[in-house]
Amino acid sequence: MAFCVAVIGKDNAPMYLTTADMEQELDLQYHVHAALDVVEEKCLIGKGAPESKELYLGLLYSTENHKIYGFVTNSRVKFIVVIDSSNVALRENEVRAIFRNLHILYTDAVCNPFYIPGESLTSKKFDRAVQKLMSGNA
Amino acid sequence: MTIDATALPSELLVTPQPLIGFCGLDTARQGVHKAIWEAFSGSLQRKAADRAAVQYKLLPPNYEFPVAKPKRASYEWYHPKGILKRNWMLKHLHVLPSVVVLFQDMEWNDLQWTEKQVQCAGTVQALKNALQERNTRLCLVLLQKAAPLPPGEPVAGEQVAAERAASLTSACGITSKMLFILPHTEHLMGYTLRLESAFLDMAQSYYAQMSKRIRNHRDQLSAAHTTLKIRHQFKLGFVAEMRQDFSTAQKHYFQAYAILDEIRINDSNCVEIKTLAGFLNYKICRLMFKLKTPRDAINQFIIHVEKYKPLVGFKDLAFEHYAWLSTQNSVFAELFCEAIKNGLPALQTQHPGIYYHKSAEYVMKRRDAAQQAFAALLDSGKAAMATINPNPLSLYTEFFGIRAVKTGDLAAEQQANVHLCEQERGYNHSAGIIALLSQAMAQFKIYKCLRFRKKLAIDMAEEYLQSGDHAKALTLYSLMLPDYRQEKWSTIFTDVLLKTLRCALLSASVADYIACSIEALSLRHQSEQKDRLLLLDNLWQVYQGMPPMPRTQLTEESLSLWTSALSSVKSPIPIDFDKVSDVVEMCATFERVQLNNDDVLQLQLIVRVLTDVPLRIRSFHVVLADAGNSQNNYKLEAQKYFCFPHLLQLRAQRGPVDQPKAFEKNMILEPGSYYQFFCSTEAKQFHENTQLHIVRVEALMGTDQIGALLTCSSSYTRQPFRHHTRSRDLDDNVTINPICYIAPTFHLVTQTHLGHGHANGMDGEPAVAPRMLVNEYYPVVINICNPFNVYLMNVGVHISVPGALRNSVFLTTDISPGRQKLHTQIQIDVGELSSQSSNTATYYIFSMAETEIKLQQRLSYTLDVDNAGEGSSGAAGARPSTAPNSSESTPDHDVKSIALSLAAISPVQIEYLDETRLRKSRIDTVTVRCYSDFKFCARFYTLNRKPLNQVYRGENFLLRANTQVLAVDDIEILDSFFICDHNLVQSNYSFKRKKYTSKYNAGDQLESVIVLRTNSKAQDWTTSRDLDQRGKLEGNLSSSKFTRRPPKSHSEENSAPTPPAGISAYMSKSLVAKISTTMTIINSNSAVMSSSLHSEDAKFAEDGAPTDPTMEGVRTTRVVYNKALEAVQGTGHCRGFIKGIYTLEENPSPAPVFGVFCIRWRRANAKEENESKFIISGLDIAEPPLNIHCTIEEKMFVKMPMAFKVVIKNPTTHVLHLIATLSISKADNFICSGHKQLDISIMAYDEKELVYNLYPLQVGWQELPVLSLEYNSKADPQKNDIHNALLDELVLRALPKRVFVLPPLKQQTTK
Repeated sequence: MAFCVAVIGKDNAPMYLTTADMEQELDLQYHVHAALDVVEEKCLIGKGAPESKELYLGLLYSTENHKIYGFVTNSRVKFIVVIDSSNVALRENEVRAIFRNLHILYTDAVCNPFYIPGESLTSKKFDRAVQKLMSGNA
Repeated sequence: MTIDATALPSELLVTPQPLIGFCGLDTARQGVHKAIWEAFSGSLQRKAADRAAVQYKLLPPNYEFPVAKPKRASYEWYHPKGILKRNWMLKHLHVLPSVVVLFQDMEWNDLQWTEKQVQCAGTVQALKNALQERNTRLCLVLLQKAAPLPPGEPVAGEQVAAERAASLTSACGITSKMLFILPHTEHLMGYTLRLESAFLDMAQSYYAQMSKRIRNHRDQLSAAHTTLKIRHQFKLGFVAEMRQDFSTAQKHYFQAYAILDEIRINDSNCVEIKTLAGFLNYKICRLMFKLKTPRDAINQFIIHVEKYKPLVGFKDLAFEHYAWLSTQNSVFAELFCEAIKNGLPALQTQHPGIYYHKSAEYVMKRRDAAQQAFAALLDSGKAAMATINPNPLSLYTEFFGIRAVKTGDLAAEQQANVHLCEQERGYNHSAGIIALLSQAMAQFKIYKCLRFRKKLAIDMAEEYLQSGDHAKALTLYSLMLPDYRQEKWSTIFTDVLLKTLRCALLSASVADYIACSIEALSLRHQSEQKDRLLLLDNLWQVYQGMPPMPRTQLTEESLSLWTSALSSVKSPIPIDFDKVSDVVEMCATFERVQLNNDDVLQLQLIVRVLTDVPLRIRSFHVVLADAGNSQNNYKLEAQKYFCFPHLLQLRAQRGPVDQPKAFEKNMILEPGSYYQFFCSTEAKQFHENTQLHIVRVEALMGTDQIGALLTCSSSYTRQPFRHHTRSRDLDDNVTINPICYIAPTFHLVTQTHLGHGHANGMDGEPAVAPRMLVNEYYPVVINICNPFNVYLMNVGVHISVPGALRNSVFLTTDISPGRQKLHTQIQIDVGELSSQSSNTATYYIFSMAETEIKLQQRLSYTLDVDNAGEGSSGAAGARPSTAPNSSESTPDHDVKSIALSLAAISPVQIEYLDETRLRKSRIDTVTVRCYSDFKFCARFYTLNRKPLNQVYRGENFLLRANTQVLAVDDIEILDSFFICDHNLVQSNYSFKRKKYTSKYNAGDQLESVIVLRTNSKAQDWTTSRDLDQRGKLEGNLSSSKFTRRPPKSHSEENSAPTPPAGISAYMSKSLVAKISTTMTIINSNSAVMSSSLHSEDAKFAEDGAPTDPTMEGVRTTRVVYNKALEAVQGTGHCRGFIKGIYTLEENPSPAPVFGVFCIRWRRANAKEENESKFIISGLDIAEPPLNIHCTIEEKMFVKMPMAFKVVIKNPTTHVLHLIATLSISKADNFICSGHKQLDISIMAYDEKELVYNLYPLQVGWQELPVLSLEYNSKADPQKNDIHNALLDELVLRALPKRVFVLPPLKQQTTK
């Protein structure tokens, strides 16, 4: 149900990106990259507010074909999920659930002692889990 | 005429305004008319924002109004061909006025009034005829010169006017309300404003009537007349807008939009429906923005687009659909922009840029669709048909969105489509896309979507690339490259990079091509190794001056571009490797952190190829710079290298067998290996005392003709996290020293000798230097030696006392007897030192305090610099720098000692005086511990050896001075004496001469006792100035002393004879001359008499300042009397006024100073005499009721009579009546003769002598007979017992109690 899942490091370099549709990958990357604008803006606004730390950023923006949702962890790692616009059945709660699961997966992957923080995520296990999550049967 | 879908008609875009027509104005010929026209319509009008929204139209005299169509009685069988006629809006906006205003020049008192009236009536009639069937209002404005008369004034003229106005209105057939007078006076603007509101009222009523008419039409319609319903709703909306009734207008438009849904859409009416829907949507959105409901507007637009997006219409004309969508978006974006301009706040996620972007995207789709359509056209061979009907107007109809094609006629439809395709081919899509994209970019920038903006820029660049503008595309791409590179989105970056490379190839930009090719070699870009090899091949082709790629793939044009570009390329092309990452890793380090001037500087350069293709590098250079002046750059070339397959070997190597290989040009660096390069050069070519740091590392790639200079800064950044295998991180295996310090050479070696015994050149160095003592001139000898083969000039030593010790420690170079000048800093010039020579400098430290003294000793010299440039011998290509010509023959041990003396941060300072000379200086610290010389303590006693607390005037008392030698070294005391104040008289207690043994050691004690007597009380303390004044007074009027002084001073005068006036004058003069800088330096380390004469000092300074202000400047230098006697303004032997006294004590005590105790001493075997001085501060001096002096013989023998004389002196002005009683002790130790009891009367200042003869009977300590005094209460009844007690006390103090009686002399006994 998700189109594309991206994990983006704290200095905005991608750490992990996968798409359901390889042909559109470049285009999706552009979109995900552009979505960082909104993420940054939202985080900036959040800075002023006292620690009512909501990690889920909600819908960042939507294009004709995609809806792009964002999530930012406390260590400023961003998760971006792109969802097909035509999928009206998907509720916001489900998107939240995707992010929650993704967060858990990410923490697990990063906990690996052989993982060097800041480098891209190459864990196969993580990849498999994310693919599952994307297809909606996680 | 373009296709309807591509743009909205201009009449739709403007805000509808009521149209008012003016006729009868001849603006071309008549100034007045022109002025009136301009007042209504001209530039003046639009400026004033408060003017009503009206459109004026100047109607020519024979203006043809559109003819009204005959009214249809029934609409039952009427089926219009389209929904909206093209000319309807135009007609009502610009052609058919709601009000026609006729202007006529007519004065009320016009002579030809009737003729004019007839003419006017004719014109009005003509207009009426022309406007038949229309509801257009007609009104008449009379232009008059005269100002209107104030109303209510019954003047004959008004009557005429009223009459004539009535006749005119009746003649013209208009109501009087339609007649206006416009006096063209100076208040034209005011009149026009009022007229305008009148016109506007009429226009309103016209449009209200019009909408009523339309509504009437509508009522006749049946359910089948959907198109007509839409038309009517549209018209109603439009008219409402004319009336400025926006909410009604919106309602009507919305109804029209809703009715539109009722029409079934097929391919043939699709265009019309979409056009109309677009119109209505535009109007609705516009009004929604205007009515401040932007959310509704956006929602409406989104729904609208969603609804019509799937309705493509003819497949062949898909481009038309996309054009329509694009227009919808761009037009909405414009509306949005307009609303923002009027104060609507937009969001990051909802702003016009989004719609511009969508619009641009649709243009792209439109282009694609057009290309497909054209391709299909070519396939089916219908292209020829297009040429048949080239007339663009052939498809025009009078309805919006309808083409002049018969519905159902397939062939005709096909032909029309072909025709449209042809037309579409002529459209420049790229220009449209680029324009829209740039608009979108501007918006995205405003709303802080910089990444989105980049994406748009990439799209734009792609469009440029497609349209063949390679240069522009290249510029855009290369601008975007760094951003994506920085963000490390490698997929995107690869895409952009490859496109940039393509652009560079197509536009023959050599520099960009090389830079991109090198960057594309990185493994980070997802491509195959063979692609990289191909890239490398092409790169070398370019290096060799040939265009890349198989030539066949390049067009003729770009080939020629390449040849010209290659010939004019500026080589080498710099490429910043800090940005271009992951191709080659370079990192440089100094071998050592610190170097001496004459060492060899060595550098390591570690290089690794990160990609999987081998690279050929021509040369490696390391660029160094001074920290001080960074424009000084030095370039070192790598000459030797090691190669390791593994990083760990970097650590393990350095076997003696391994010799680094020499670097060859165009060496091939294999991927994956580590290369360690070495550079070295002589350190002396750099400036001394500087920090060198590595500015950058450069690698040259390519050929002589064309090369790329890969530069990367040396700053090695550590990874925040380490890899789990240690062999992966470079900084685990190599130490990286980014800086290297070039320690300077100081050409002087100094040796400091403390204490005596070295000045004369004896080099038997004692193990311990003699300790420095307080009050001593302690010599310091500096031996300055130049062990180098350099000629040094202006060698000098500058010594200064640190600020904290400025008041107690002084320096001097001159200790000639008499006086020394003391300084806080001195400069000793040694002069010139030729090579291998030495010299000495001596100075003395004088301290008053027992502390550790840290003197700053700064050695400096100047040196000629050899500019011959012999430094370049070391490294090829290294720029020779100015460096001191330090010779190679420097002895090793000297260097070592210098190196030792140099701290991590060298104390050596280097100044460049000019091109050829430099000055070096070094600051060292000389530490001397100063020890105490004597411990001095003094006490006062009465003659009875009782501690004395108060001195009576005229009474003798004792000063007992105890001195303890503290100095560890042997010293000789030459002399000790007490200089008492002028107010005191001193005499020796014993007549034995003081003698000092030759040497004293620590712990030895000395004592001296001095008898003192004061002649004045503390209040009457005479200072030297009193003496001077008195002397002067005496000189001028000799009797003044009696008038000024109370009579008692007589006795004082006696006891202290005034020096002659001449001497006094001389003394005062000499005082003034010296005061401010002359003072005796005196310790006062005895606790009992701590005192100072600071106040005196200050007073002297005040005296001195006005006489010689230049003295102020020499405060730091003080002349000091080595002998305290010289500091005293002597008035007798060891007596005088103590002048400026300088002590360490800050707070002056109130008691007067009784004198100075001096000890002259010297070190054993030394010549220099020192003098320690101690201030004796005095006690309170009181006036006694009487003075008692007792005289007794020095030696008493048994059975030898002796005189016991008591002198009683009356210091008061009264007569004293006393009874003196002598009581002999019970033990019969004396036989006494004299008055046992005596009544004495002593006159003022007189004295009485009581003499007793004593005959001692016993040997040993004997109690003397006790003399007691008491007041004679009979003669002097005021005196009582209290006074008597005081007398007793005085007697007790003055008279001895016991004497020691010696046995009889031998002669006597034998006699």
